[in-house]
Amino acid sequence: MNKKFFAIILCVLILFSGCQQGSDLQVYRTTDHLEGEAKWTMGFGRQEIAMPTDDSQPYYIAGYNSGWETDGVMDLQAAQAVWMDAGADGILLIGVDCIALSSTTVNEIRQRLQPLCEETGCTAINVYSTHDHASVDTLGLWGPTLIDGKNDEFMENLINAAVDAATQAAANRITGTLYYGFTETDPAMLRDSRDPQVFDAKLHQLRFEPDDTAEPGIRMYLYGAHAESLRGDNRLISRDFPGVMCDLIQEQTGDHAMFMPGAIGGLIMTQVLDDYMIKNMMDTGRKLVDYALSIDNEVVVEANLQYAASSMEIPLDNTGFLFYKFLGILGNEAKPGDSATGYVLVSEMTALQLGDMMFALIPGEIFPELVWDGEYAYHNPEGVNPTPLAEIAANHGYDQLLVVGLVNDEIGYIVPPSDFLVHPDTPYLERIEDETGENHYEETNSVGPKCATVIADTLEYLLDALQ
Amino acid sequence: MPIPVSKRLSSAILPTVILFTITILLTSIFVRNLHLVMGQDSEYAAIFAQLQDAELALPIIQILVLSVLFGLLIGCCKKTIPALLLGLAAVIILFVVSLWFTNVNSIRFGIVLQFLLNALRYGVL
Repeated sequence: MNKKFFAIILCVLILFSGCQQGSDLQVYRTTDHLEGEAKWTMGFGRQEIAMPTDDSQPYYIAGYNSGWETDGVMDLQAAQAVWMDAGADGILLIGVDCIALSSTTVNEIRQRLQPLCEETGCTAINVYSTHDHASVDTLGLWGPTLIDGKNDEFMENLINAAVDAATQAAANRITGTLYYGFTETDPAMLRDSRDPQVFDAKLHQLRFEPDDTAEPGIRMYLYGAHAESLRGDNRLISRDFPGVMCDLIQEQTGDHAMFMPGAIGGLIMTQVLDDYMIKNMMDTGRKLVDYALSIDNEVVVEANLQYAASSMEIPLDNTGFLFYKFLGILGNEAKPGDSATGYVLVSEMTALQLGDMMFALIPGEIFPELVWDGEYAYHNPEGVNPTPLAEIAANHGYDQLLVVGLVNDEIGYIVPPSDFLVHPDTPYLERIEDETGENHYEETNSVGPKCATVIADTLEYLLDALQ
Repeated sequence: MPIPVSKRLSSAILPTVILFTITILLTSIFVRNLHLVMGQDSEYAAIFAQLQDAELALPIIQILVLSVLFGLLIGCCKKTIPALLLGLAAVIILFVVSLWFTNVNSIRFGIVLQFLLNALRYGVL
């Protein structure tokens, strides 16, 4: 009797023990809810983020140096939002000009948009950051060393701006046609600061053309580069080249524009086109606009929207992250689990299908070689790289996978396990150089070597759910 | 003549309550004022001052169980001085255990302590 009882308990525990994902899996298919015609409906909203007026709390410029207060504002950061639906319930995609947002901030935005969701039938809110390195610190990592660099008033203004932009987008929705096109930018425009040299040089465009041609359209650009053309000496707040690009697109086409970062880990940035950094930013933006306006291979995106979203648990091996979480600086969710620190980071991922295109919405900065089957470095021979994400998508029938980074969280760099090297005595606190002199900086800002595998497994799980 | 169980239990109640309360208060006050413990002029004071607003989750069950055990032991003491000495030892042990297992912003204090010691050992902090 006792043996049987314990065997049953054991079976139940085994059944539920493997569930790192899935307990909160959300799947939505427009086809399950469509009552009328399948037709794209989109709306756009934008709201600038006000700078703090209370001088009692400093605010720091994010991206490079600790404790750098800003010298002024070149152009204000903003939140942009797009509503999209294919004839049934919709989703909101909110893009914020900032370095990154933790899941805590994203969930605060979602919570405040709950009434709007109930009113409009919005089923998902995804919030990404442009990874702007000339913006106010929104993660807390760029204050004085080990001091939270976030400014409470700015964070409140940011959240309000995101909510306002989303509300406008929901209110402005109209029907139209969605197109996808791309162009290859000159690979010399991009720089991968770490070997091997793997990056996506394409500029991808989703263009929404309203049925009412008097209304402005919406253009969404996806490009795999860090928004840091102003580089590390800059102390002025700016949207960097994404802002230049979006402003010029609007000026030249009348359409609203948004910029989304792609697979930028490793570290992919634009090349310096001019030594005067403000001109460098303008030139980079203008060049990308020229590329954008040259796109001539657009195809219609069928009116179909579906997605699968799930949480995932990533072993938190980075003791530095653990300490920042302990101090209350990092807002990511952590809970006890199997890892070097005894904790796992809880994050989330979404597989979003528009037409027959698949987008992986990833909560960090993934190395491009983990997405496309390119070269890997092998400075950690014990590390086993997961199946490239594009191959996982292809195995599920998707010819093309597009990756949007820094969505709904920021877990840092997602590094190939085969190239994952940390300092033997002070892992994650100090960088290490490998035998070729390559600086393994990204590892110090990553969750751990198992992150890449969790991301790949989660995508597999999400795409299985959509089949 | 053996002491009746009911008498043991009743004499344990007061020390248990006192031990439990002191442990909870000491742990909370210590964590939230760690920067003062280190010295306000310390270079780490500003860093640990951030814990003043931390979310604390104390190991209530563990503290309660240990408080009851020590409460029973103290309750059995027939003389005051041994009871006080035992009480003092109990407070210290309970405080250390409580601190080690307290979650500060979801992270166990004991794990962070190990991390800090390692960082100090290698001169990173």
